[in-house]
Amino acid sequence: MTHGVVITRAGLADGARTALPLAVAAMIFGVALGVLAAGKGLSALEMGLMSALVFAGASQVVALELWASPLPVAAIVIATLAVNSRHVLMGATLGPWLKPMATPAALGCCHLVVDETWALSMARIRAGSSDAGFLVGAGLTFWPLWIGGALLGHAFGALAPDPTRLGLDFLGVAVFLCLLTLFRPGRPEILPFAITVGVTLAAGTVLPGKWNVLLGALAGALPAAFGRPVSGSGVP
Amino acid sequence: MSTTAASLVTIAAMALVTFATRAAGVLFVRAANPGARLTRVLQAAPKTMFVALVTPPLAHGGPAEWAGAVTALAVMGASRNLLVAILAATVVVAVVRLQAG
Repeated sequence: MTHGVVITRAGLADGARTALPLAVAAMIFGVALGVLAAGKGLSALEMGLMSALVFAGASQVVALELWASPLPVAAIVIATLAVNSRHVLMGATLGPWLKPMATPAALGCCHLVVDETWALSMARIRAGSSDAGFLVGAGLTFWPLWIGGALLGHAFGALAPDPTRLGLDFLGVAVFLCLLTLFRPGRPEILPFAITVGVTLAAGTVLPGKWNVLLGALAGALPAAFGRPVSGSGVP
Repeated sequence: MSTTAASLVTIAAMALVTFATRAAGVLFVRAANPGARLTRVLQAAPKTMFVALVTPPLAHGGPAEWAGAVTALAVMGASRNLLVAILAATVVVAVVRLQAG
């Protein structure tokens, strides 16, 4: 087994190519976000900085909905944490790619984790790839389009299409469902998945943000600790 | 629409907590060096995370979302092509929503 960090040009290109259609869809959401931000009185600089530095769409929408004068800073930050808490588990599952890296490089890569780039990366790890360039290529495709879309929406709001009318809000769900099939879930997954669905729905009625997604995913995965070893999943 | 210090502080704080969520899991697996049990949990987690991500939109959705989900799975099963499957699902969702007005 090798422990070297692998980021190849082919991996970067593969990530960029695979992510591009989803990144274009994300850009259209970015436009909608920019429209919302302009309506709330954010400057173009603030919109650009938020999209570049936070780079997490759902939490940005929630933050902008809370945006008011005077700014409810604590409420916005707590809501951001609640929506983005799921990243904790996503980062942990990227271990096979990010563990062999030097810490600064791994931390740089983890800023590129959004739902879609993470999901596509999981499918590659599952297929046995050890090339973290995929995540970097996918993330660096999403990032500028996300920022650019937000700035476009901020500048030319009135011309923006409605992503929901186009069904684009469903793209993420479709991606997650399709990639799940690549893991070939079968009879052993019935119980874990039922736990996940139950905990996600139950926690969603009492907790804000997306804490329920993190808790549901964790609750469904925990029984695996007591199961038999899984082979061939690419995790060392 | 001018840039204010309060906005910049808020954005910086949002960026900080978001980065913390992204870094926490990565730093944890680097430090903890997962044993066999934790490794199995982390192997199972992508699948349950996919399920957890789709549960709220499908549970709180309607015919458009359900038709989209069936389309995504059916086309993916038939074509093994992610792009074709998600495009088909998105078109179905948009069309059913249009029908529903």
